[in-house]
Amino acid sequence: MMGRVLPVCFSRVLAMLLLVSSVVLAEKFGDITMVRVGGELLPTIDQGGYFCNVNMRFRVTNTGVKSATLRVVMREPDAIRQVRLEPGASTLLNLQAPMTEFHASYYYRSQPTFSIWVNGVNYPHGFHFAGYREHVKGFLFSNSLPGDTLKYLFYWKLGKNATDKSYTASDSMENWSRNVYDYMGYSVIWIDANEYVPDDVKKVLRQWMFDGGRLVRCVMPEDKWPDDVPDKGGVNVERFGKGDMVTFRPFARKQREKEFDEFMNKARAYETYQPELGVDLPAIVNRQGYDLLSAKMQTETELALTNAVTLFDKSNKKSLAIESPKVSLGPLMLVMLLFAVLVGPVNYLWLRKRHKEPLLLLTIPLISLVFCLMVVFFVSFSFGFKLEGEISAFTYFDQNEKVASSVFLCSLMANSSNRKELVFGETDHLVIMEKCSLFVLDKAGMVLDPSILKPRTPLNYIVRRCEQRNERIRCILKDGKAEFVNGLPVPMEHFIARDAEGKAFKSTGKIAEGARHQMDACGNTDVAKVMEPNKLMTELCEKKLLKANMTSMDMDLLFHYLPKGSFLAICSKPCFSTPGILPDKGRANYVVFGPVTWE
Amino acid sequence: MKITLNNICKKYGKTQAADNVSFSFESGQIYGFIGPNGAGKTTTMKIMATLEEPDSGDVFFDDVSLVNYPDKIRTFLGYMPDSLPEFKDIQVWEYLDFFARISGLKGVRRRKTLVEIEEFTNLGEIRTKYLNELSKGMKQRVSLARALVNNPSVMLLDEPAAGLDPRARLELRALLKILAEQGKAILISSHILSELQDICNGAVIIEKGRILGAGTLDSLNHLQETGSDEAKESTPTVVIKIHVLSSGEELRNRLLEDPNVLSASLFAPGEVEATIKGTEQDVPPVMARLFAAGLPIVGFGKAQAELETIFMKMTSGKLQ
Amino acid sequence: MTLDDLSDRLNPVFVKETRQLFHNKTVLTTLVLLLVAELLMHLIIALNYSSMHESTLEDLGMISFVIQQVMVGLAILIICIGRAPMIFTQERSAKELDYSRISVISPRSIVIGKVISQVVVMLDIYTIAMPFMFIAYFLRGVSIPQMVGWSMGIIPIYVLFIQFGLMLASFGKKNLLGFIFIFSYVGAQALVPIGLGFGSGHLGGDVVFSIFCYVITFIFASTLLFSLTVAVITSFGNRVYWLRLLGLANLLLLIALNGSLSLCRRKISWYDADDFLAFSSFLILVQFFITVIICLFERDEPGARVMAERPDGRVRRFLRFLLSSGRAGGLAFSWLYLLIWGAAVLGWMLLAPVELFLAGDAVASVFYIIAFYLLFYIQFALILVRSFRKLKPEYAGILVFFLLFVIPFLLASVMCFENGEFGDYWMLLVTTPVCCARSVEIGWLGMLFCLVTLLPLCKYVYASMKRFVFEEKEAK
Repeated sequence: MMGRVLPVCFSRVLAMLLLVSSVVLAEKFGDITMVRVGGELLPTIDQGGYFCNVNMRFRVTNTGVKSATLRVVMREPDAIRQVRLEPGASTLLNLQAPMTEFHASYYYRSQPTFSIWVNGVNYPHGFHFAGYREHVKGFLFSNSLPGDTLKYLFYWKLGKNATDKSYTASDSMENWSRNVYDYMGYSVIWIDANEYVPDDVKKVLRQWMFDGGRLVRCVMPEDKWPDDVPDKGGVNVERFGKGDMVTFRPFARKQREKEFDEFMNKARAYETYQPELGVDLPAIVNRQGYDLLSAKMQTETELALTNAVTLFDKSNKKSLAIESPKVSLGPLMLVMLLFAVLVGPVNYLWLRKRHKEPLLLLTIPLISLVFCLMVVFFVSFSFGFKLEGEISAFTYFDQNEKVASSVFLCSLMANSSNRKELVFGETDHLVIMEKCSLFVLDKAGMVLDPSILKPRTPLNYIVRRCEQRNERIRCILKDGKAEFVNGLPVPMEHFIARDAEGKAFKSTGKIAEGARHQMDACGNTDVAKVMEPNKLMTELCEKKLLKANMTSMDMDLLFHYLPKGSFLAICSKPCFSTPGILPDKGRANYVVFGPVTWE
Repeated sequence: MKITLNNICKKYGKTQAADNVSFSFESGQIYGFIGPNGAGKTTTMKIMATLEEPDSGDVFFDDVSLVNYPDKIRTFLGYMPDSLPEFKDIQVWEYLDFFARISGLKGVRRRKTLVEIEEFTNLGEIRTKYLNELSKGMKQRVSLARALVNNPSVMLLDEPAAGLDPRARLELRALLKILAEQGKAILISSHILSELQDICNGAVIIEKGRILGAGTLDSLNHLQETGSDEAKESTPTVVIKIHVLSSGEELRNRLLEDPNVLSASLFAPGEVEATIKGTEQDVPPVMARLFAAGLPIVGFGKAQAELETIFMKMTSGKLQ
Repeated sequence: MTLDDLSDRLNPVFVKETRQLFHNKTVLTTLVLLLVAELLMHLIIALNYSSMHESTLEDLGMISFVIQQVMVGLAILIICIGRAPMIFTQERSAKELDYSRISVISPRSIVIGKVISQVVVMLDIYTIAMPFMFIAYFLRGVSIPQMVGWSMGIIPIYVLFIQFGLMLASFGKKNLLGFIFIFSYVGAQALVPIGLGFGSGHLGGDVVFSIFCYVITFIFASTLLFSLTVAVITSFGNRVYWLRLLGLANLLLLIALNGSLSLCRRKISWYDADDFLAFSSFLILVQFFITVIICLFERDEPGARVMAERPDGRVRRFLRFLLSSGRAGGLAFSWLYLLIWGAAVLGWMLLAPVELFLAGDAVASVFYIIAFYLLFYIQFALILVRSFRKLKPEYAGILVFFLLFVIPFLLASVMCFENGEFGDYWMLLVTTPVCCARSVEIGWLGMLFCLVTLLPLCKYVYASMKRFVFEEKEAK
């Protein structure tokens, strides 16, 4: 019987799959249409070429005549995605499953689920995180490459389980697929660096690279090296999300073995930093934002972000996490002792004297209730009701590029229940330490339910944000005297800068927004060779150099991190917006730094 | 109220505990229910108390059938079993209060009833004692009080005096007489036949599940002597016992010569039992003649039918 | 109006039980020990609080809460699950329960009084620990939804154990008590993680559906245990009345729930129509199994008293016939039960929207077929009992089960061990529901067997029904 029942039950799964397959691409929910457009690949530990789809991306369109609200509620992680669309409007929506569900497993332990509500009505759907494990197909060669290219190429090792098969495209790149799914499974795609690639194919290939693919642009011996990338000895590797783009001139391996080894060494240097958290963090991806930022900007703060994770590590004694309040157990014990005496002997003996012992059924709960309320009031008032927080924000502000790339290290704690939602912006990358998961945000933004902030439990999260900023901080050197203009929309507590020759200057007091301020010259201090946001952030946090009230002497220490032609400002208010929630009380330091051209 | 048992049958496995049991008794009467061990007394009483369902037959309380309306019967039934109250962790007044509540008594009426019953059964002093602290006699009183809580019209008492000391038994007898005077119909089973003798108006004798005889003591006596009770109804007689200082032989012979004396027998040395024709009015003349004859008579009186005698003669003593 | 007058409105058994409870030294000692243990535990925490590692502090509340649950669970085990059935058994064997029946109180009220008194005491024990649980909440590591969820999950389990203990105790056999104590102790500990699972985190999606099914299971199990306990302690009455009535009510409730929730599924995100159909079918099968087994042990005809209590009116009498003790009534009730159930399943298959038509209906069909096989066995046993008067019902049941299920199953197992698949020997298994392994369609033979074995019993059932419905009551 069970042999029949089980297959019967699983026929449900089959039917669901059939249902899904027929509507997998698009589903209509009232006036909203959701079309699945892609997903992210996540390489697993064995690197055997298995990958899983942990992201779901949808193009959401309002096809009705009235505005509609789409709300997607995920059970895991705690995320509510809400989008309000005007008639005819369309947007991209990204849903992500926690990595830990899929990572390093040969099967899925659980399926993250989500529900779709349009204008308050729930609609069943056939979408699911169809993680699948597929063997890497191998290499795809453009048919414009000469047939004997292979003789001049070397294989990248893909791991012991990889099958190194090569496929040649049957069509020219003009006619290549515009669907990223069609490129899934190819670990490396080889194309001619000078062949024509349509823009929409470029876009798809870019997405494929972000998802972990490697695009190799072969510059044939007779062709000119492309202008868009520097020639570093016949090879250039440029990082794109989890993948990369390699531009190189093919050569016969045997002839240029040394160069081959050098190349491999360079390739390894671009491997993603792996923090020791037991959970792999993929490289940060920001697809929409990519056009906004330069690759350099990505690199600058990418390491900072991954390093920031260690700063919240529980085992790290210098952890930035806010400390949870401790209950005053001493007085509470006295209260509980009183309770035990009252509810027990006193209560019982008093009632026994009156021969009304059954009333204990009423008096016990009443006394308990009173003491429960006492405990609640006592502890609540001793903790307070405000939202506490510690924020350390580091913004690399390139005024020339007009781009600010920030890393926010936030530790929040609510002493009572929190009612405020945590709101993040369009291009925010969010890592919530407790969830060990990475959220890639999109135009819909992300609103986290207030309940994610549990009472008296710190919520530590890191946000990396890249945004375009037009503010301008001006440094002026005139007659040996240095001045600067605070172009930020908030007052600065401290400001230090180096000129082009390396001379150090620092502010003498608070600088209001928009104000012009004279700086004092400082003695020669060590000049940093380059600005390393990662190092700056890590050391400032670990060494706890960011204090509530920094003195002039404290600021002198920070010169150590400033190269020539750069500045560093410390503000106590958010220079730009704060992701999540702005706490009611606590310490906040906003460090803005970057290159500056002295006038 | 008249209680009539009609052909009650009950079988436990192969044992016929009750085999066509039929008898009746009325309000104001105390009937003894006697028989050897395993005769079926407790079974019959349990059936009457609606604790067991008969295999066949019925019990009628006036016209109310026990089989058909047991719930109605329970409202005017009081049952005192042969086992003692066994509730744990409960005081006497709480125990009685519980039974008062489940009998449907509420509020003032319940409290008043409890006070009366405690007074009646003399439980006032021990009302706050726990049941398991009580002696056997006290527990019996509690058991009796429990049976009285709902002011029953019919009381069934199974071995109520078992284990009681003489004083307690005396008190119990007095209580039962009062209850009978109040108009309750009482069926009481006991092995202490001498005590039943004092209080019972009649008896039911059972053996191996069968009724050997039922009725007043006189009718039973006649039954065991003659095998039927027909002649007794047509000729009124009085049985007297005469105690004499001599052996009694002479007295007996004198009595046999008296025309009003139907029979005379030597009951025991110095004790003669005689059956006199007529009613009690006819006794003094006979006695006068005996006194005139100068016989050393020291006492005489109406002879009650001896329950023990009846029992011993009617039963074989065999067990089931 | 005094408190005493107010207490008149309460169940008398409840009043008695609570009085006994607070006179009992074991109960008082246990409660005092619970308080002392709580104080000691918190004293230890307080003394070590400042030196605790952060990682311990983060989970301290949860640790404290779990330990409290164990302590409270032990207290409930001793007082409610252990002591109460023991007292009941003693009352039963000392006939005190019987003497209580010489009153206006019904067996149902007695059972209700006993259950409610223990449930109220259990809740009181919980409230004693509540202030300490609040401290656990503030120690971090456990949230209020978790605590509430766990408590809501575990309390019904305790209630069911109390009912189960009372049901076993109602037999009056002391040897059963050891079983209940061990079973409760082990079972409650094992079920705590389930309760924890139900109480974890926030509500949403599957968790709500799980809670819904949990509540339904509780209602179902509780009513079943209640009606069984009433049946055991009822003497001189219609023992199966409540069992059948509540069984029918449960059936209709589950059908109504399946229908109404499916209609509202768009508004209820957590409802899984398919799973609930399969789950409901299982519960219905369990109920049917118990009802039909008991039918085998009933008397042939309703007793004289049941006959005397018949209502007026043919229709009402027929309904009473279905609910009254007696095998004929039991059989008729079982068939009615199957008809209603079958109509519901058929309705589901025909009327349910395509998107709901997945596997739940197939599972429901399988359970339905098993029910037919059960009835087939019971009817066969009844035929044997009626044919061989000296054959006891339990022996008849065992014989039938052995002949029609065990032997074919063993034979088929042996054969397929040699070669082939189990389903290949469906012809051997045709008298068992296992033949469904081959195909569900073969399983419908069970219905055929059921109908065939009903034929010899038809006359008996009809005669009994006719007598019950048409025979005049005896004059008073």
